[in-house]
Amino acid sequence: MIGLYVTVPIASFRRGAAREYWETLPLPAPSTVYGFLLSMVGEVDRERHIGARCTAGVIGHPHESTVLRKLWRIKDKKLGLGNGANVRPDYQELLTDVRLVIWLDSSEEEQPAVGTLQQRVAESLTNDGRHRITRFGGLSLGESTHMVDEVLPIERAPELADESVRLFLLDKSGNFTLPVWVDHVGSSGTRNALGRLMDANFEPPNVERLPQIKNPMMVTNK
Amino acid sequence: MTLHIFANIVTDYGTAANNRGETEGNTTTLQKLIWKGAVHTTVSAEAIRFETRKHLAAMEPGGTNRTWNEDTRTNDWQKPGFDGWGKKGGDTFIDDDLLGYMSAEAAKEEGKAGSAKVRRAVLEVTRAVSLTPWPGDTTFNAASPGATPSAAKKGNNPVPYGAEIHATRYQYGIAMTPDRLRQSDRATKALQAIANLRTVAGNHGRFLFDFSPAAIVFRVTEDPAPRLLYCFGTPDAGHTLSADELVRRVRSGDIEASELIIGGELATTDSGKALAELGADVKEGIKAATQAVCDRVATVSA
Repeated sequence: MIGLYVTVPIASFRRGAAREYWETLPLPAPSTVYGFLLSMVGEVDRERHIGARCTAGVIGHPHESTVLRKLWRIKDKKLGLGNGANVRPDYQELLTDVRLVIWLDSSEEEQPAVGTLQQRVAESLTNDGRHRITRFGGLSLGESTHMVDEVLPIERAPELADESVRLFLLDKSGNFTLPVWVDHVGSSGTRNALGRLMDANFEPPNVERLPQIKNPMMVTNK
Repeated sequence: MTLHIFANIVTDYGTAANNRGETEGNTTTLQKLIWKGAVHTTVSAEAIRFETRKHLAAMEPGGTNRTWNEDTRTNDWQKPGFDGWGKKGGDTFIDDDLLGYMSAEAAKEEGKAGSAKVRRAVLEVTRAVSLTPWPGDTTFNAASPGATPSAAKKGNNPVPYGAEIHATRYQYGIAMTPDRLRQSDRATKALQAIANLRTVAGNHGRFLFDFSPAAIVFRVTEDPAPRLLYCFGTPDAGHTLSADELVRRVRSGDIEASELIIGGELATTDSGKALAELGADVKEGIKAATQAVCDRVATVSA
């Protein structure tokens, strides 16, 4: 298992069902964390590391704000993009000074041929490894506007011992579901994990309690 | 290897009244968020991108795909279908290349998937945040009868109204991976546009805030994490600048000083001098720093 310390100055972890009012989750879903890790290592095939387990924990209590955003949508195709009814102001919740811990474990990955995600992430944190990676785009956990500022191995994170962490872990009697796979066209392929936010420290959690990345459509096809 | 360009930018000191159409009673409000425990004002990344697109349109002989028409208050499109992207060597517009696009179409038949033309922005911009907290400044004014079509249609009484204002600087960040552009020289044009950015976030065209950089910190690196976002601070309510956190990160080894190119007001501050001593390329001018980044990218790409 590998642990990362990640800072995001301004973030919004949008709830999947949010439409007019873009509420934020307290922390990024496992599916978002997985996408962030793929981006970090330059992997564009999102099925490459199926079976990986990952989750995020939020350190301390980020401040919450609400701003008004101009958002595009298509209500009338004749009007053109961003014109008339195809644009409207909507509210969005933002979190500021977001600091996260991210845990990743690759022991159950199905395709180790290119190296596991854990190995690739660990390599990307070294100067030599970084040199061998081809990737693009700023790192983000959701919207690209909400850029990640810093990524460090958890061992090198500054002065964390006294901080509180709320970590999303699997729990059969949990009260919180977060997606581990998102179907962007319709929602029948979206898969959620049931868990709860647990008070934790900076020690690696039990592997079995990390949400696992699974694509239900792939399982069906097999 | 992949080369990324990151930058953190801070504007000059000015008075902002960046209303986005939201009012409380008859007071036009500023967008605000809680930043480091205090209320700060903020300008969206979209507003900065809007002005960047205007700048790109002026720089390009063929203009941009999307142009804001001030008369009709709508977007005019040259190629709303984003033609040219489907084939190698096809004609494309600079704004689509740098700022991305998305055109989604719903499924035509039940049970079938819809389609979407999507290009992720290569030039990414973050939300701008004021360098200093907002102290609650508001101006109160009166519009004379008949001054506007919407105010005081009847009677002789002037109409009082208020506007929240903030005397401050704004800081924001950008990221770009030049290799991802359809035409590589557009990276230089993007940097020139950012270095010369003008009026962003207007209050009905009456009051516009100059977003040209007073200071800029570039980082040209293979590191996917910028590690310099919102790195500017101020020891004296926004009059002068500091970058203590950036100095700390360079000293700690998380940022190689040789990857930094710094321009503008920061050069003559204690932070600027410390960064120069550590090995950063520190210049007094914004133009000189921007040119140095363009040269460095050209050298690596060659």
